Amino acid sequence: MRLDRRRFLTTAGVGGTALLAGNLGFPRAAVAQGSGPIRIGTLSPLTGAGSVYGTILANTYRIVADDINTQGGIGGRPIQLLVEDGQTNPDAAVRAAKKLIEVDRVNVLLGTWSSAVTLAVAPLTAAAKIPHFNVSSSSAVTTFQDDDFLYRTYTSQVLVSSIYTTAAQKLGFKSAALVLLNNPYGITLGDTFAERFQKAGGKITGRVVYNPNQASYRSEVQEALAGKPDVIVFGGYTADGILVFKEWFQLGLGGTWMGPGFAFNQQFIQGIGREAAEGIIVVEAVPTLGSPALAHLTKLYRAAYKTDPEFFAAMAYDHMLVVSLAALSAKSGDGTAIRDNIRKVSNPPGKTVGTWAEAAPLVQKGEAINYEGASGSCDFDAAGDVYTDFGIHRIKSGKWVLEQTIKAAEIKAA
Amino acid sequence: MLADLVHLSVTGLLIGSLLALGAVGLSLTFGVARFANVAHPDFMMLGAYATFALNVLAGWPFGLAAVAGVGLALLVGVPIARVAYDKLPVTSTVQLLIISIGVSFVLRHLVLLLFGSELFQYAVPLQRAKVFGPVRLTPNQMATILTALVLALALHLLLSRTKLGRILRAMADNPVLCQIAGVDVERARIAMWVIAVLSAAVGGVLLGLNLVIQPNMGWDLIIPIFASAILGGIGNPYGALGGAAVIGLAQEWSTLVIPSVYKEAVAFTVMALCLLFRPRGIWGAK
Repeated sequence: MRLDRRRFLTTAGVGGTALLAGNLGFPRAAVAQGSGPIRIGTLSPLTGAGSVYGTILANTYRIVADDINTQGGIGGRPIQLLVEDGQTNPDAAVRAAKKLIEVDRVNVLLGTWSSAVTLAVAPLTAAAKIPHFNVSSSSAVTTFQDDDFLYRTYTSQVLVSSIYTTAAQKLGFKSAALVLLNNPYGITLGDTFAERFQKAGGKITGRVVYNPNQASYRSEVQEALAGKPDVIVFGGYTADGILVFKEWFQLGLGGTWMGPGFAFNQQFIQGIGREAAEGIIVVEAVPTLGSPALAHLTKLYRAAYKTDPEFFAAMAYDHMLVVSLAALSAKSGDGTAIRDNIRKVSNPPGKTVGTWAEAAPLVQKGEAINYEGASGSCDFDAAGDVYTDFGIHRIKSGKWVLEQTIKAAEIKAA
Repeated sequence: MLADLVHLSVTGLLIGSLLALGAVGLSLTFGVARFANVAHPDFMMLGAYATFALNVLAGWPFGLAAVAGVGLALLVGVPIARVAYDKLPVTSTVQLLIISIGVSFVLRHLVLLLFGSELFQYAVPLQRAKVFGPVRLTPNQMATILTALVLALALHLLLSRTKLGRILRAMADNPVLCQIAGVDVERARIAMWVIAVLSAAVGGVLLGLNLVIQPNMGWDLIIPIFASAILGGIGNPYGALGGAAVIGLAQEWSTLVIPSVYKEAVAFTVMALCLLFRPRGIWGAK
């Protein structure tokens, strides 16, 4: 009884949206393929350490789904978003994923952040045979046996550590200390970096692994810096990063910090103050500047949130576009059918496209397309991984200033 | 080596101070109201957010905002505690425990609703540590240690030298007898919640100063705070200060011999060992 009412309500809601779209004069697809909405579950963290990025992901999914729906949806079928909070916590995320899969019967699942969460949820999505897009970076995501249902738009940590090594060499650092969060991402980043950096002639002077949610990080910081390194490589997130960095600054110890942009973001800079942040090196994937996809996303994002989209928004845009185009190409909401069409729409050969308005008519005509996204080319390899451009930034007066770009092709060659 | 030990001891005491600011009030309410108030660390979070709102959003100077913020936390926290813990028709302390878990969720999600999940800092510039030989401490950190000591001392004096203190201690011993003897139990409980929320809010302000302001800032420390209260002899507020110091020192000293990632486990091993020999806590009765 309750389920019936629920189904009725959702149908009524979606019908209303479609009607509204029709009344407003948006093109309504002549032939509805399949029936009912395409249900897209999002499981980005809205609370916990990842909430900063998770909120950006969720916000972007919303505006991009609305954008596609106002253009007639996926071959006449509207996108219905089902939003759950992954809480940056594998336990909570698994519970939410079960709900999305078993109760809401989603066709795809988007947006898991943090490798621990992605790896906990991946067995469920693989078993349910639904495509699962994530923004995690651990190498275990590459090797996970997912029956080709797991995709990511963030570069694998194994590559990131080689990018860090390249950056450290370009900047002339001879010795490094590692300050790593105790999770798969932090430790993989640190240890693969150490291996490459030492092979390239660098010296590792210290390695400290810390736990989140502590009242103090003084002893960790002191231990890491005992060897007086040129550069301190950071493998953690924003919340713990602020605490660790605060301790370092207050203790008045030297060295330059180098870390990922999702840790050293605006919130981090705000948290520690502009002065303290001066000179930090940020190595991060950069949106593909000049791409039509980024231009369109920027337009949508500015209209909704009054700021420019950052890399996480770019990835969310790409997830939504790729799965929607794959569903359109498959003429179906079935998870396996969508999976089988992902590379058809995202990888070469085909006409290069970056927006729904441009891509959807081509797909409906049965023409080959090659989606080039806002976060990168979205050419998924056999493991569902991608290569994107990276930038070496330095924080100057509270802002990232791009100093050098490492192109995706360079990273692929290295 | 000696320099390391001194430095780690100072760090341990700093951690102990932060934990003590939460543990003292927790221990008091356990003693008098006889239940573990899981929401107690969230009253700390309340103090931090109230101060943040006045300091950053309203633009008040930090000192003023801190005092007013603690007041604001009292205005919000005490009525919540009164309604949730004193007015509901409960029949056992287990129910109170469950209610307090509910209060904790409500408080954190209220803050989430009002402020979002962003990480905040007060409008206070980062300080460099002052160097005294092997010891490096920022003025804020010194203030934290000092506040914990003053607060514990004030509570000790209140409990041992005032009429209210006698009443609270009597209630901790036997609430029924107190009522029969004509003690105004209601007023005493209000006083107890004021003290508990006040100490928590002060702790929260300092926690925000030392760490980062986020909805889970209290919740994240719930285990070490409870451990401090238990180790000090639960129900014994100034024992909580000692318990917190032991937890802080044990985990910091341990980093001399084993990797710091295990330091929390060490602190709890020490707690377990202490309780093995003194089941009522180091400073517990009998």
